Amino acid sequence: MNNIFKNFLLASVLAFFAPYLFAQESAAQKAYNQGDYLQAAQIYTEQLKSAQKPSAALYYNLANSYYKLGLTPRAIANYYRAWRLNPRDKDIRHNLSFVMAQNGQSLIPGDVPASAFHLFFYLSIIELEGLLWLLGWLFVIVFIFVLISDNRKLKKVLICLGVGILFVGAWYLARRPFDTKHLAVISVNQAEVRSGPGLNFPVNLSVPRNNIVQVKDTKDNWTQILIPQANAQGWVLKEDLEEI
Amino acid sequence: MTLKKLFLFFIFSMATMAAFAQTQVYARVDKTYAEVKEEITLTINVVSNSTNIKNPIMPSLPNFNIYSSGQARNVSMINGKVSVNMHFNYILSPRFAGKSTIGSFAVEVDGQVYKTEPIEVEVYRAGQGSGAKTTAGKMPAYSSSQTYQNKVKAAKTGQAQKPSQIAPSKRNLYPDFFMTAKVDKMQAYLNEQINLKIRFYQNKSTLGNPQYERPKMEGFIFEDIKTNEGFEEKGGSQYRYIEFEMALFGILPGEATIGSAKVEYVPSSGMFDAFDMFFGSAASPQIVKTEPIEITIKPLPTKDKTANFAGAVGRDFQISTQVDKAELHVGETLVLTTKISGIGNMRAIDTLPALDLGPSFRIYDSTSSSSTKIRSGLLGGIKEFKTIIVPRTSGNFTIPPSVFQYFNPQIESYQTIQSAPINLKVLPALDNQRDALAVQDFSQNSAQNGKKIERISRDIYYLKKEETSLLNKTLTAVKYFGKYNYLLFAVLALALLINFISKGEFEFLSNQKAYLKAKRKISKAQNISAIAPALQEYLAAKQGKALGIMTIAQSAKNLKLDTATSTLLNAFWQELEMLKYAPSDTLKNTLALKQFVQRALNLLKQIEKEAK
Repeated sequence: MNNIFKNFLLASVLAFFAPYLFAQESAAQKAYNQGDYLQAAQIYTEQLKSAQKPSAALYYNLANSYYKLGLTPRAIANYYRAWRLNPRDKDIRHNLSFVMAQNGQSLIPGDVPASAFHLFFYLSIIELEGLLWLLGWLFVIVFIFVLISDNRKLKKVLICLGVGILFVGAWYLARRPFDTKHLAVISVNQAEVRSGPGLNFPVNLSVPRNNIVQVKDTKDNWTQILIPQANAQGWVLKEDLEEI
Repeated sequence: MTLKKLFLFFIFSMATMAAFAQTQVYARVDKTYAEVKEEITLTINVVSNSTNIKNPIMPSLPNFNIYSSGQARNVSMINGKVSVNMHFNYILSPRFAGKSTIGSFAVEVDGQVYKTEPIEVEVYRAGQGSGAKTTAGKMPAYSSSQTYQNKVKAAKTGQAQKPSQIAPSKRNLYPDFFMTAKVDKMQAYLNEQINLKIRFYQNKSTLGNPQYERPKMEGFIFEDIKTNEGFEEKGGSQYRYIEFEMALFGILPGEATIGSAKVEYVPSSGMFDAFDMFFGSAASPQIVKTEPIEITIKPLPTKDKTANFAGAVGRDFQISTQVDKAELHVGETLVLTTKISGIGNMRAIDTLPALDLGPSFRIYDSTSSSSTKIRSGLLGGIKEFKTIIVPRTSGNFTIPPSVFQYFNPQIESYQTIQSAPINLKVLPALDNQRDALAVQDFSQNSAQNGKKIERISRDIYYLKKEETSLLNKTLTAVKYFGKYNYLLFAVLALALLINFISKGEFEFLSNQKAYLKAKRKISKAQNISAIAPALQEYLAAKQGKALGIMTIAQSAKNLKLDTATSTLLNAFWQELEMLKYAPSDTLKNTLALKQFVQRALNLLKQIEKEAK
């Protein structure tokens, strides 16, 4: 109850300061329009820090500013964050695909039909989780009504809800690995990938800037990465990565 | 003969009129060491553009007996200029041993008096001998092309070249006509300037103009710098020379050769040369030439060389850009002029570094022009590129600085300069230009007007506002309900618990229980009397009423059973009633009882299925 009151209070405060937040966005937009992308990026970063929950639009705008500044790895990382939050958004999808394509990468794997990909990623993982809870609540409510009324139609609804929960649950389980995957973008011209976490290990391959790789482990200043494009893995310096 | 004299007089008169004050008078002796009564030849040499030269006035020379040995006069024309070279010769015979001075001779040329420098002579008694000291004059280190080649060879092998030691001689070692070729460096970078000076020397006149033939340049491009004329003493004689100065630029790394330069001339033979010029001479043409020179052309270093290097080698380069207008409409033409100036071969700068203005501009090929200037013997100038630019979209743009890199051979490294950026305002196209704008596309034609849709560039989409769908809002809100979602399980458990505690107060569960209870009782029935009560209890539970107050038919009607099921129920019930009063061994047969029980269960199932 105390938490509910807190949330209500927070919502009220946000509503009160909404004009201020809007002004902040305008300031960022103004800086962006004037070509002061650094200033715009700083404002968007502050807004993201102060936001109660992650915002796809803020990540998108921040990524735009970074892209204009020439900081492509950071731009890719932030577009990716925005896309994870709102995979249906065409602007986000366009910009992420655009920047990835500039570096010879593709958001949609080559062997997957685009429509299937978009369907699979129609809902974000947060939305899927929300949908699962929503169906669960509906199921309980209908179940209680069935207990009380023994209504045949409600029984059918209950069965449908059950099937729905199973389906969304399966979807959620299938999606979860994609969204919990710890990704990173190579942020140096050529990242040297070594066979171990240290300079005494030989360099096995080098990965060019802006490539998206998967983070597997970290040790001191070193990060173990998986490079799906080369079907290889190795260790790179942490500073050579922009983690997503 | 009279005709010849008249003609000579005419020529000399013309030469006098054209003469100007460029006169030099020298005195020289064939030896400065001599024995008493030995002959010393004294020559007074007058070189002038004027023909009005009088006989020298001798100073007092008490230590010598003097005899005049005649005079010689040479008139030559090189490149249209008249030059007179007169020699007044005297034989001096020393009278006493010891040092003697030959005083200054005065020569009047064109009314102006010129004096020679005094000359000291050492005289020995007969029999003492002067030995090796009888050198008539100093020989310069390099006085002919052959001697110069020796120097070149020594330079290549790293040996220092010493001045040639000239053997004692009583006569000048230089011929009357000869040529030299000198370069200022034997090694140069690609496109670095090499200065070549070719001189043609003469101390005698020629018939007609000597014909100069430029050397062949293999591996070079060249520019003429200037032509000089002057006088120089060679081997004690005064020579007139004409010098051709050129700038060479190696165009290929490796060895490059400067071929032989040639001069063809006809030497004059006497007093009637001028006449011979017009009436023919028996003298045959002569040729003098220089030795070829090999130059090493070094390639430019690759270190620090960038894409902005366009081949320029030299120093003090500057670059500037300007546009003919700072504001224009889409579709109008803009001329961007890029000027590069400096010291070096401007012809080597063939292209400008690529201009990248993005997709908002169409850039056409540049045209270039160059002008050269010579400063202190170094070739330089200005190269100008004009680039036509047509804006395709409106907006405020900046033409980025033009970056220009050149190689400075003096410091042996590349240097980079750049122009200032230029701001440009492009306004939307005027209506008449809008129509004329060329539109190209690689995707689709517009079906409406037949014009093509042009994709000019691709860029990221613009900023977006926070706009979320109802679906997103709802689902996200549920998700962010967080731990309260787990109440769901608590509610479910609570509902089941309440149902359990109420023991069938809920209709659904009580109905279920009635069916299961009846099914269980019928299944376990050992005789016919156990089936009827179970069925009766079930029907009562289904209707929520006691069966005693209504008939089987009414129950079937209340439960909205099908007619068939209702009939079946009535028939089964009557059969039960009959069997209740039948003899006790009627259903003793186990098999018959089982069949009857099964019929009761089927009926029960059918009623449960249809009952509402």
